[in-house]
Amino acid sequence: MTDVAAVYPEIIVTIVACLVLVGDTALGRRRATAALPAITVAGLALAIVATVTVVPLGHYFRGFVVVDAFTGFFRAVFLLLAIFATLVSPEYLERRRIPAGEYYATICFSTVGAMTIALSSDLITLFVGLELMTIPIYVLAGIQRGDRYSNEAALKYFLLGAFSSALLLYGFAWLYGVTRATDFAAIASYLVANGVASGPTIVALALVTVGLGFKAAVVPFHQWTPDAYEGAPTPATAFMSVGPKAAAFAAILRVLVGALGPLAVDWSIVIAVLAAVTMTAGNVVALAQGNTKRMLAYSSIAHTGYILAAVAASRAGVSAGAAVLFYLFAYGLMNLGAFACLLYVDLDGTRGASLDELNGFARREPLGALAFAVFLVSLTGIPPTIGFIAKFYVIQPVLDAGLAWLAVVIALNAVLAAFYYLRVVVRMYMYDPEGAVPRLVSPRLLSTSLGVASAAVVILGIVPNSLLEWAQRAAQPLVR
Amino acid sequence: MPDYSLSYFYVLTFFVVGAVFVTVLLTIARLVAPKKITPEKLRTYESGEEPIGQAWARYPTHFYVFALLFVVFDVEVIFLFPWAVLFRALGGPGLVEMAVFIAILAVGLYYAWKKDALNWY
Repeated sequence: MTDVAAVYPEIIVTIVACLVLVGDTALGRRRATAALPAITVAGLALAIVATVTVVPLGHYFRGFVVVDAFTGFFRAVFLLLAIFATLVSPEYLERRRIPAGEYYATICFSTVGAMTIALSSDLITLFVGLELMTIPIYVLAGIQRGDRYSNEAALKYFLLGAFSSALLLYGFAWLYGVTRATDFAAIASYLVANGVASGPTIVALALVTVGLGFKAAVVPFHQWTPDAYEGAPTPATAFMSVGPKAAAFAAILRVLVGALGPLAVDWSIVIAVLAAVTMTAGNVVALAQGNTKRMLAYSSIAHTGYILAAVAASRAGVSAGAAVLFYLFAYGLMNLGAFACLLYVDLDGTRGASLDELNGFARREPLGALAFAVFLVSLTGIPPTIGFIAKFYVIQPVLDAGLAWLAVVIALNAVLAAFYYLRVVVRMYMYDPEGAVPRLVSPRLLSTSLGVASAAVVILGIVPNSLLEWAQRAAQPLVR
Repeated sequence: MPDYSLSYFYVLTFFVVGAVFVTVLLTIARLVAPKKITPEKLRTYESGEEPIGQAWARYPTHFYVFALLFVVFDVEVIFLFPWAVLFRALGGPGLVEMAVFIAILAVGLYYAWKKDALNWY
């Protein structure tokens, strides 16, 4: 029974998802709107408690599942992001008549998938987790069924997602063909024993990199991102931009660093170039966007580049892994928050928000504007925010790994990005609103959760030590 | 060259032979066969029935819900068969696992039912 005890958090989240679906039909419409978010948040919080694991660290289910510090870190991150995404949504869902039960259940199912990726120690578990994570996200993108753009977003995301899954699976097949193993440790030890990369290994490596690159939205595999993020309902976009991204990086760390670590000499330079291209392209295109939602979509691509830079530096050891984990946590908090701030404007009926609509936003919604400003400053990477600390910790291992040119690219990109992030802040505080615009009706739950999150962004930016130590412990299992 | 690359070579050979064979036969048929076109011959073939309207007709999208549920339970049966064959070997834990699997599907069916997805119009 210890096998079952090892996956208690996943079991809890699955039960919560089923409970929400049953509750949606059993409770009346009035009671459901209040009860469903409460059930979801309570269940996810219970799962966080359960991640303080009751079983000893090690392998379970005949070596298909591993529980280590890495698993624990990612489980907690995914659950926190799911709770945050749940808390910002209720008002929007009610206003737009989106079926709330399906929405929360879909988020829960996707979270189970993401957690499965974190605890996989085998290609098969990893792939099952990846599919379980992405398929609910396709549904989430298209959950506003009457909306053309939402449908377009879902279809584009689905087609490219299915395509990338096929590529990834084909890569796994080649990998199995070469090493005759699906277990990460066995693959790594085969590669160590048999030395240099042969033709088939390179094919496997290329397919796996492209497949995971699609999932994480790495340039040039990012084309689905802006349309999917822009078309999906805004609370769904907020979750899509962080949950699947963190899960994709969990998969990248498990496969590239964990299983294919012995080939790091071959892939690290490719990943470094991809990282440089991704952050530059993301930032340059984001400069030209007039719609804030689309701008944040391109900015999320740019952040993928920063995280990928830390992956490329994996030969620097624990500090590189810790930088990836720390950045993912910081990115999740600030990016989900930034997208959720658009909900203030979205609740009044526009899609995303053009830059003009944000003119004088601080006068219409002072607290919301303050939270938005904090998230944007953090995304830029200005102290004292968590975004600054995260970039700082990425640059260190990049230098240690001898990729000085990449560190320069990161620094230049941070300057480039400052322009379009701070432009929004300037418009919110220093421009006059066009015409006489009434003060917005403040959604209370949204404002409260954004307040807590922006406070966390600042506090963790001042005292990041405990979080960093946790990330370092979590990165330990990756180093062999 | 390792063995498995060689076995792909066989696949390639079959592919080429197949493509050439089909192309040659169709070309010969096109050159040799007499062409006597009548309206009867050009009509859409519908298993001997009189064709009604265009092939690009609208049809009720309600079908997709049923198709979806059908696929779900089709896959369930595929899982049930190997489990049934190895029922004794899997024993108690196998029974519990299958019960959990069916319970999750049952929740989905219950939801679809309550949301009137099973009603025609």
